This record gives sequence, structure tokens and C-alpha cells, in this order.
Amino acid sequence: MSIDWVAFIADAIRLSTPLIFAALAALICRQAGMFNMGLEGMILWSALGAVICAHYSGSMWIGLLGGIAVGLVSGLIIAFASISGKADLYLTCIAFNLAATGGTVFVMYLLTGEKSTTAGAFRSYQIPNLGPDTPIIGGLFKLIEKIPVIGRIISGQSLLTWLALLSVVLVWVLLKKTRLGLRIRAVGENPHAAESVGISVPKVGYVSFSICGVMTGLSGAFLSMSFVTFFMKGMANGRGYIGLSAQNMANGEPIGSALASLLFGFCQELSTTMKNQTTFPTEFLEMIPYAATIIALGITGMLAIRRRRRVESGQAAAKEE
Amino acid sequence: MNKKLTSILLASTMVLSLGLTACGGEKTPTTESKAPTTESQAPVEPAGKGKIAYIVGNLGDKSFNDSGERGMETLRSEGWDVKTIETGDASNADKYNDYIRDALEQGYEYLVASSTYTGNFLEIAPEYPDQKFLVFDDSPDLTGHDNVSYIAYAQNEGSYLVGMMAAGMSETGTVAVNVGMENPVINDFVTGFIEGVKAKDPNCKVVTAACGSWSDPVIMKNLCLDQQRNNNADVFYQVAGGSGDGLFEAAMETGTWAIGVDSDQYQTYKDSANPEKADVILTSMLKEVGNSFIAFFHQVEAGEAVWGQGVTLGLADNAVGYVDNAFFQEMVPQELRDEMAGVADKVKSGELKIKSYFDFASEAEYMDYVNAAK
Repeated sequence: MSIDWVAFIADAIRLSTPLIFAALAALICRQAGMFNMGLEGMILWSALGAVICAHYSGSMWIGLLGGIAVGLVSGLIIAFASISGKADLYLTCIAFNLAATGGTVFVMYLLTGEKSTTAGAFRSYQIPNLGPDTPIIGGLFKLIEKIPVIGRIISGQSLLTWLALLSVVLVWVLLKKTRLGLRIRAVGENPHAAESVGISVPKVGYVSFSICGVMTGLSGAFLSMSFVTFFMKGMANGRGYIGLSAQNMANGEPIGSALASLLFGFCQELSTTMKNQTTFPTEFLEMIPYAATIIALGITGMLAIRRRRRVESGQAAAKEE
Repeated sequence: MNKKLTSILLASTMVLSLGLTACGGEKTPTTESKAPTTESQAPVEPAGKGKIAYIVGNLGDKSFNDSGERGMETLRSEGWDVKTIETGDASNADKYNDYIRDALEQGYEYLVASSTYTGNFLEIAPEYPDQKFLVFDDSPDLTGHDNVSYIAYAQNEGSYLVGMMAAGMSETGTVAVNVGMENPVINDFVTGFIEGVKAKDPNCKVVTAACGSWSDPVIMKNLCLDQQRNNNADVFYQVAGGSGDGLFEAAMETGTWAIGVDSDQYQTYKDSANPEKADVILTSMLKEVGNSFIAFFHQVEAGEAVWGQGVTLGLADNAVGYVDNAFFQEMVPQELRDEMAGVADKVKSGELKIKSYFDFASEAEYMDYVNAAK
């Protein structure tokens, strides 16, 4: 029994992919001043939407687009309820998640007559993994594979994993370098001030939820069309909430959120490997990703408090002078 | 205008969420209450033998619950008045008692439910001494419960046989059994499997892992990939409900073998939209829940004393076994198949007794046993 640590890292990245998308989705909303708890339900709907579109169109790409579209629509539903309808965002999100738990099963039952999984009823499609066999860029991967360690981690990852990393950069550019990003942050900082300079707060809210929807769509499509190739009821299994806490840990910063998601993916992979390779009780190992969430949130919270105290004491000292 | 919109939206969201979550349970109590009226209008039921309420989480699991439903189907055709009540999964656990009481108040004489509902049955049964309760897949202590009975299955016997096959088919000398969550019945599967593997090849290793959920195929697939990579496992046995589909995908991806559970999962996939997925499933360990219902209610009909006690059904009763189909015959060598059949006969005749989880003195002893097999 020897553990292949290179493959371990590759798998940890794979497990992190849906979390990175979820964290990005959460942070866009947060930057716009909204705490979107509906991610879990949005991911679930997207995962189902992706397999439905792929099956009926016979094309994996339409499936992927379908998943994104479903994510987009579900984001807009929450946005409509909370922005135009002025409904409480938390309640809307809770209602949305509950509706998704039963609703996805209901839709699956209507279409397939199954109540647990689409594994039998729908044709499976897998979004390709990028490796030496990939057309056009395959040659590049042949070269990459020759690099020790790194080569094996990079080669064979899903297209969506690459897209997740790209999204981190795109979201960072969007928030820090574009006018829209500035507006999103302005609205999040102080909606009244933003409104007073002529920014349409509802419009920015809708745009944020749309981007959020696209991200959850990719997250859902990764679950049902990449890691496995079918939809199963409740298959989000808390990944939306983990993404939410990942962005919380990093205070809504894209790169930090992605790193936090990688940490959770790493913890999930660690728990998997330890289940197989050690004799720790399963229940203890299953706790690892979630315990890591609580500990990480606790530490980042403490750091934030300490930083604030330091600023406050500085201000107090300045006053005395 | 906006306020009105809000209230409409909120109301519709709530109705939708309630309605849709209830759809998980499919048949809500409201539709249930209609039953008695339709019955009085339709007395043409062939000589009513008795009214049975079959309480399940959800049908459509392609294994356990559906097997039970097929048995109930047969009983229906024999003249029993059977109603299947779907209660939804564990998130609805607070409503289980209501479903059961509803059924009792509607005059169902026999209530049938799986181990999930054992606690509810034992709690409610004393209040309804004239109605009978059948728990299956569990063996609770029935002292003081004269109107309760149970059917348990010797899953260790069926698992023993597929364990032998796994050891025989493994080229690397390591096999894996992955479960959804650990509980006594599931641990009994694992015990039987390990026994079978060790009987066939004492040097063959068995990795055991729990996925932590019955519906997380992603984690299950990840577990299997890790076992294939780090432990060199090449035959995977799933006892994990929905998560098991992740195991089949892992077997497909890594070119290894898989073993299904509860029903013929090879056939299920062969008949599906993805027939190529079936080609990793050598066989499935069967648990014939439906057949056991039919046998039980035949006993009830014959007036045999079945209440206040339970039975454990095994290979000898055809309640457990393995799938012997063309694919199995093609892939598994004749010699190994004969050996399995021979052992099955020995178990049936009582010559060979298979170790069970319930034979362990403590959980710790079982854990040591599982870890020693790794």
C-alpha cells in the first residue's frame, strides 16, 4: 500500500472544481451586497438541466449550454423575487433550495419515470478531459506530460476544471478592472451612495445574479456531465454551501476564494484516501471537510477581528495625540 | 404594486416548495383519504383476503423497494387489497408516524415497512393491538409485541458467494466493498463478503469504505479510483444504493469489474439508454424482498402463527442469491461458477454456516475484523 500523491493532488483539483465555481458564484453576489444561499438549489437544477438538454439534443455541448441556461434562469428567479419583488433574500433562497430538492425529483419523474437517478433513462455524455488525445492541443499535452509531477496533474483534467481556473481570472478582472465590476462593488459597499450617482441598483443586482447563475450552471454541469455522467437526486450534497463558506473565508476575493475551495477539495480527497488507507472510523473522516470549514472560518474570523482591533487602537491613539 | 407582487410571489414560492417537496413522497395524505370512498363504490375486488399497506420511502430505487413492490403486485393479483404509501426520504422522518397512523385509521389490517420504520412500528403497535405490523430487513426484539413480526435476510450468505467470485476474478489480489453508510444490515453484507473472499483466497485483500451517503455518486467514484490506484483493487462490490452508480462508472473508467446489489443491475443497465455500462457488472447479489412478502402472506392466509416472532431468510429460502446470466457465464470461468454453486448447496443444506455481523461480540471486534482484511 503506497499512496500516489501526484494523483492525489490531481483528484483534489478535480473535486475542487464544482466548489470553485460555487465560490465564484457566491462572491459575485456578495460583492453586490447580497448573500446568496440559494446556490445549492441552483447547482441542483443546473445538474439536472444539463443532462436533460444533453439527452434530448444528443449533444454534450448543448447539454453544457443547457446547464448554464438553467443556472442563469434560476439565478434570475431569485433575483426577481428579492430585487423586484422585494422579498427577503434569505427566505427566498431557503424556499428555492427546498423547491429544488423536491422539484428536481419531480421533473426527473415526469420525464423519465425515475425518482432516484437518470443513469438508466438518459444517455450519458461526458464533457471531455483535456489530455494527449484531445484534438488540436493534444500535442501540447504530450509535451506537458513529460514534465515530472506537474505533467500528470495537469494532463487529463476536465475542460471544466480549466474553465474554472479561467473563471477565477475573469471574475478578478471583471471586479477589479472593469466599469461593471466597479459598479457591482459600489452597490455592494453602499447601495444608496451608488444610487445617488446614477447607478441602477436593481440592474446591477440582476447582472450579478446572472453571472452567479452561469457559475452555478458550470458547477452543476461538472457534477452531472463530467465527474459522473448522470443526475442523481440531491447530488449537490452541500457543495453550494461549501462554496459559500469558501468565499466567506477569503472575504469575497476571487483568488482567495479559489484557494479556499482548493483547500476544501483537498480535505475531501484526504478524507477519501484516509478511508481507504487508514483504520480511522469513517464517521470521523467524513467530518474532515466540514470541520475544516468551521476551523477555517473561525481562524479567518479571528484574524479579521484582530485586524479591526489594531485599526481601532490606532485610531484611538491618534485621537489622544 | 410592488407589495402585491411580493406577496403573490412569496405565496407562490411557498406553495411551490411545499408542493414539490411533497412530490418526493408522491402520494400525499390528501390523496390517501380518497381511498375509502372509491373502495365502497367498487366492491368487485376478487374475494378480499385482507388489506395491506406497504410503506416505503420512494419507489423507483431499482432494487430494494421496487422488489418489494413487485411482491405486492403479485399479492394484489391474488386478491389482497394492497396500497403502497410513499413517505419520502429521511427528511420527512417527522411525518412517518402520521403516515402510519393514517393507514391504521383507514382500516389497513397489515402494515409492511422496512427497517427504517422499525422504531415507528414498535412505538405505535401497542396502541392498535388488532392490526398487524411486519418489519422487513431488520430483526428487532419483539418481546411484548404480539402483533409485530419481522423478516430478516441472510445477506451474509449471498455476499459470501459473490465474495468468492470476486477473489476468483481478481488478478491483483485486492478487492473492494464500498457501502453507503454503515449500519448492522450493511455490515452484515461486508462480513459475508470478506468471509467469501478469504475462503476462496486467504491472501486476497479486501478494502472496505463507506461513502457517507446513499446519493453521492461523485464521492463514491472518487473512493473507487483511489482504491484502484493505491490499493490495486480490481473488483468492486457496491452496497450503496444510488451512490453505487458512481462505482460502476469508476469500474468502466479503470477497466475493472463491479458487482451489483439487491436486484439484477446488469439487466437494468442493459435495458437502459447506456447499455455499455452493464458490461462491467459480473453479477449482482440478490435480495428477493418481494418473494419473501408473497411467502409471508401465504403463511398468514394459511392461518399459521407468524406474529410476535420473526424469521431470517437465506439461500435455502431463495430469498438471497446471485444473478446467473449469460454475461456471468461468459466472463466467469466454469470452475469458479461450479465452486460457487457447490458452496451455495452446502449453505442451503446447513452444512456450511456463514459468519454474520450479528456473531460479533462488539462493534470494536467487527472493526478489527474489517481492518485486518485490508
